This record gives sequence, structure tokens and C-alpha cells, in this order.
Amino acid sequence: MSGALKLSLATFVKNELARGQPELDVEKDSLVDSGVIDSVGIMKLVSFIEKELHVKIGDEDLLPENFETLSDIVKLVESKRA
Amino acid sequence: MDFSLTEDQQVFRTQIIDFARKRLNAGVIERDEAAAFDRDGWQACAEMGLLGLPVPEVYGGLGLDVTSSMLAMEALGYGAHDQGLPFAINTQLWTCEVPILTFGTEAQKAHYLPRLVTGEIVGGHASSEPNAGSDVFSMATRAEKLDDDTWKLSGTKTFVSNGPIADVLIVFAKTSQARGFGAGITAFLIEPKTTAGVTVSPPIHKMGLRSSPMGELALDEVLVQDSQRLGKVGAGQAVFSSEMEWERSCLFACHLGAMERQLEKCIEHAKDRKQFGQTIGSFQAVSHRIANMKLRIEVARPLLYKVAWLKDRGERAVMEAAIAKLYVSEAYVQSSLDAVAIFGGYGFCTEYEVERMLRDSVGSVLYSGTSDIQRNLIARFLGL
Repeated sequence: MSGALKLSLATFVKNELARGQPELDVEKDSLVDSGVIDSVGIMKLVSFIEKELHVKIGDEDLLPENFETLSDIVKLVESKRA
Repeated sequence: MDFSLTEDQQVFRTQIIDFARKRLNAGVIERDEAAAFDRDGWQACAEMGLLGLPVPEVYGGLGLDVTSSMLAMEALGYGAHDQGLPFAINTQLWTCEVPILTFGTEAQKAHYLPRLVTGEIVGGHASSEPNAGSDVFSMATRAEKLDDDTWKLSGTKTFVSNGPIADVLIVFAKTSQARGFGAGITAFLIEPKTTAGVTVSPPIHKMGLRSSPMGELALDEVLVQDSQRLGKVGAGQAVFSSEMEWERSCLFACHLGAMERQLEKCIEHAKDRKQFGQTIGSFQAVSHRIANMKLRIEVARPLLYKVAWLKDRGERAVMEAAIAKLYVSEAYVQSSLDAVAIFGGYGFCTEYEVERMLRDSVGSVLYSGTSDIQRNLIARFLGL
């Protein structure tokens, strides 16, 4: 797993999506159940991935299991890069 | 960004305007008064290819890109005086056909898309509920899995555009109480006319877009095969968000077309009507109103075209679609108020068709997410 990729995603999630949740452990907690990945959060994250990481995420990939945890998001991005 | 039209796009635009003027504009006032859906017009639009703009040719559609689809909708909104019919067409295109195309299995695509495109069947979606409007994912409709092949759905949906005439609806339901809306909503394809336990209300009377039927949908322990699930379990939010990005751009291109026609009508009236010995267009109170109407159109068009341009490049346009939707809808209402003011007492009379545009325009700041919801979305994207 790419450390740089994970750090980049963790920083975005922490700074942009989970700012009001200082107790949230973005590397361990469920981002879906915590409400970080909601209908707007998921689109912000995907926009970040597509614009900043240059990885295309299809609508059909916008599934809860791909965004449940930080590790799931990293796996999704890596699978798209492969 | 280059927003110049290709020759094909220009030809198609002209064809649609000519078609709408010839085939869709008789009896508009009567249909509005009777809240009657124009089924013949619907069929004519199907024959024109308008019910399958973005659908690949293999399913009978035209396979157009987003920009061409948007231009077609703008032309339809310009040419068709009955805005209820284009609204019904947009409902089917963006909240039924495109989700099936994006999330459906091959069997679902083959079963539904060709018949939707030919106008044989009518589609829509059902998401809002009596207590879940802007807060749509707080829905109470439940889908319980009985076994590997069967789901049981119960709940009530409201504001279902095309509902009273629909043959297939994409119905959103909660499949997990424990998970939030991010993972707890699933979409199902339901055929309301032939499925036991489904009741569709008569059309709800409404202020505008009266020729576009809208109703309630009651689901009483409706048994649905797993093969009717659209997308994966928990993918309802993805389906819904995808729909909205399309609808917030292409449907509102129709309104842009209507605003263009409205402007021309106001200019013609301002040049013709005389008061105090002069044409009313020579008074700044009138000419400035018309200048503002033109300004709104010129701002609205690139906002919409940018969304299409981004989507055609394979880029996301969530915030851009929200901005375009917000601006076009509020501009449409304001310009419609201005048109009534320019026409004076005649603008209040049904015969001049100015008051109907005002009534039609008001819904645009409500459907596809209210103006407040669009501002919320834009603010979230700005990190607020």
C-alpha cells in the first residue's frame, strides 16, 4: 500500500471532510457510519481523487464498500491505477 | 472552453425547434387547464429521438454526448410552449434511463431501455416522501430481504413525477437501519401498473407544469425479485447522486430555452405596445427589465454548457451543476415575473401565455434540490 497515497487521502479526509469530528480516527473508524462519507462528502472526496490524484472513479464505483475506511479508499485508488 | 456548436448540433437544434413548433404547440392552454398529459406529443418526441438522447444506439437511442443532449433540451424548451411535456421527458431521461444505463445489469438494460426510448413505456423515479423532502435520505420506506431472491418493500413516496403514468419507477428504500444513508439505501426497479401491493394516486393538482402528471406511490408489502434491484445493495446514494448531476444540468437547459423564447416575446411586445404615445420599449422601466432578462440568459448559458463540457471530458461537475441549477432556476422565476410586469394586465391573462410560464417556473427552485440545498452543497464544496 502506498504510504504517500494513504497520507494524502488521510489529510484530505481529516482537513476537508471530518473537521468537526476531532475524536474520529480517520485511519481506523468507519467513514460511512461516522457520517464523514455522506452524499456530499463522497462527491468531494471523489472530486479530490480525480483532480489531484488523476484517477478516474466511475459512478458505478461509488459504493459504500469502496469508501468504508481509509484502507478501502486506498485500495480503490490503487485498483484504478493498476 | 469552446462553446461553439458543430454543424450537426446546429442542424439538430433547428430540427427540434421546427418539430416542436409544428407538433407540440396546439391545445397548450387547454391541456394546462385540464392538467392533461400530451401522450401524442410524447410519442412524437420518441419518434424524433428525444426519449433516447444519451442512450447508446444498441438500445435504440441516439448515443449523443452530454453537450449535444443538453443542446437538444435547450431547443425543446425553446420550441415547445407546453413545458410540462419536456419536464416529463427529462424526468424519464435523467432519473430512469441514465441510472439504468449506468447501474443496470445487461438484462435490465435490454428489458427496459429500448421500450423507454420508443415511448412504449414511461419511466421515472420515486425518492421523496411525506416526511423526507430535502432530507431525502431520512426516508422511511423499507426493503426487507426475505430470502436470496425476494425483497419486501413498504412505504409511501410522494411528488413522483410521471408517477400516475409510469410503467417503471426507480424506487429508493432503506435496506439497513444500522447503516447511515451512505450505505443503507438501495434502488429497485418497480413496475407500478402490474405489481401487487403498489397503489398510485391520481395526479396531484399543482401550480405549474400541470400537463406533467405527478402523484403518490404507496407500497404495501410489495414483493420484488432480487433481479429488480438496481445496482448493488447500499448503492442507492450513488444512483441518486448520479441522477441529480444529469438532471441539474440537462433539465435546466430546457428552462434556458424557455427563457430565450420568453425574452423574444417580451421584446416583440415592447416594440409593438404603445402607451403615452410611445412604444413601451422606449421607457427605461421596460427596456431595463428586458436587458436584465437578456443578462440572465447570457450568464445561465455558459454555466450550463460548462457542466456539459466537464461531463463530456469525463470530469465530475457536482458543484458546477449545483451552481447552474441554482442560477437558472432563480433567473427563470425572476424573468417570468419581469415578463408579467412587461405585459401588464395582459400578462395576468391566460391567453397571452405569460402567466403560465411564471407558474411553470416556480417549481424549478424546488425540484432537483431546492435553492437552499444547492447553496448548502456549494458551501460544503468550498469547505464551509
